[in-house]
Amino acid sequence: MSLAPLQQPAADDSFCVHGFPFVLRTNFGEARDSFARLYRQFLNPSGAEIGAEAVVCNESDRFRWGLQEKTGASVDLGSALWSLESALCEAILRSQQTWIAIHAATVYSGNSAVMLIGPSGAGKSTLSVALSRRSFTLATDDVAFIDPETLEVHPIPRCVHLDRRSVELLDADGVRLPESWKRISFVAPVDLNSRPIPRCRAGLLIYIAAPRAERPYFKPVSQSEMAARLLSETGQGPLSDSEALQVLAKVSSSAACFSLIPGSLSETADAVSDLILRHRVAEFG
Amino acid sequence: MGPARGLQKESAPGLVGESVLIRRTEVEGHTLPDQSCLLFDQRSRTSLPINESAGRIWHLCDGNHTLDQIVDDLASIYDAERAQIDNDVREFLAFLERHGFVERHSSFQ
Repeated sequence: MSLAPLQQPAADDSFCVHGFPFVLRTNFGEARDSFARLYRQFLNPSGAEIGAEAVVCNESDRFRWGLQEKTGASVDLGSALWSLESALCEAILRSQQTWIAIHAATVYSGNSAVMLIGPSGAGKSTLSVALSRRSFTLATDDVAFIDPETLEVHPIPRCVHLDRRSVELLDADGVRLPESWKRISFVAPVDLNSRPIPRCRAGLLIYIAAPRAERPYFKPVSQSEMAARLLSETGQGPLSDSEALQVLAKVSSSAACFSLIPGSLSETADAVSDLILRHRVAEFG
Repeated sequence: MGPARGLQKESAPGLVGESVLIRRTEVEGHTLPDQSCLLFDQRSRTSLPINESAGRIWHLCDGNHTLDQIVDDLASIYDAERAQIDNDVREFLAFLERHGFVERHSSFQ
């Protein structure tokens, strides 16, 4: 696909992501396609609620992007899309009035959510992409909301964050990233699997610990330890610390909780895959 | 017994068998279904996950139990040498006091 602007007026696509409405204005087909794939579950065709305006356009030799008061420019389209997507994620997080945001990758096995928790650099993105090759549905590699009332997980889809080393590891694991990665380094979860995301609670919580070991292994962790881990991965939100803690204690209490000491990517993804499947069997058993 | 995994060994200056400690009002304690317990200090936003036996010690820090009585309580439940339990309780209470989760009961200092 060409990166040249479309020879037509800017197209408007309307979305509402977890209550944050916005319209995308761009004359780049690749940009439009990227956000349509990323937020495909959040299309707002009626555009009933006029929200923020997210813009990507070219200006002389630069790609300009903007969302509300945030603006910037990049020399390549991929960087502009990443910046706009990051600004959108921040706006979605800021606009949330009820739910708690948790820094966690989320994959699905059937109708059960598995959250991979850990600080930046722990390997959530790489592991979750490797799990998508093992037939699990990747919903986000970065952040998800929890509804305090229902405890349901609501992932915020993000373009997958992979560095060169992660791409090499994934390639060795047999993951073939889509063409959009080669062109603009923009991969949406839907590019790796196309199943819809169910509404459900987290049945399995896995904290990615450090340092790595020769072989991956799991340690069961107490519900209180997992609640503390979850609390450390939440930011400022609509609830007080005390309220958030009570919700996170319920989340931990309704899930199986493990700490993962990772090994090589392939062995770790296989081990997590086994754990998820064993957990599902136990749930149904 | 080992009250809370990962705790540093703490000396317990001044803690004697008659010492009475009380939970600070700013600290929340949540007991979860697996009987582990999560303490949260609202002032420092510090959370401390502890196991069941440590949770029992925490709940006995109600201003009505001396250190010796807490040890007696745990010795009646756990199959461990009383001296070992006494040592574990002292270390854990010293840790809690040092990190501001409990304080000495004023009447018993």
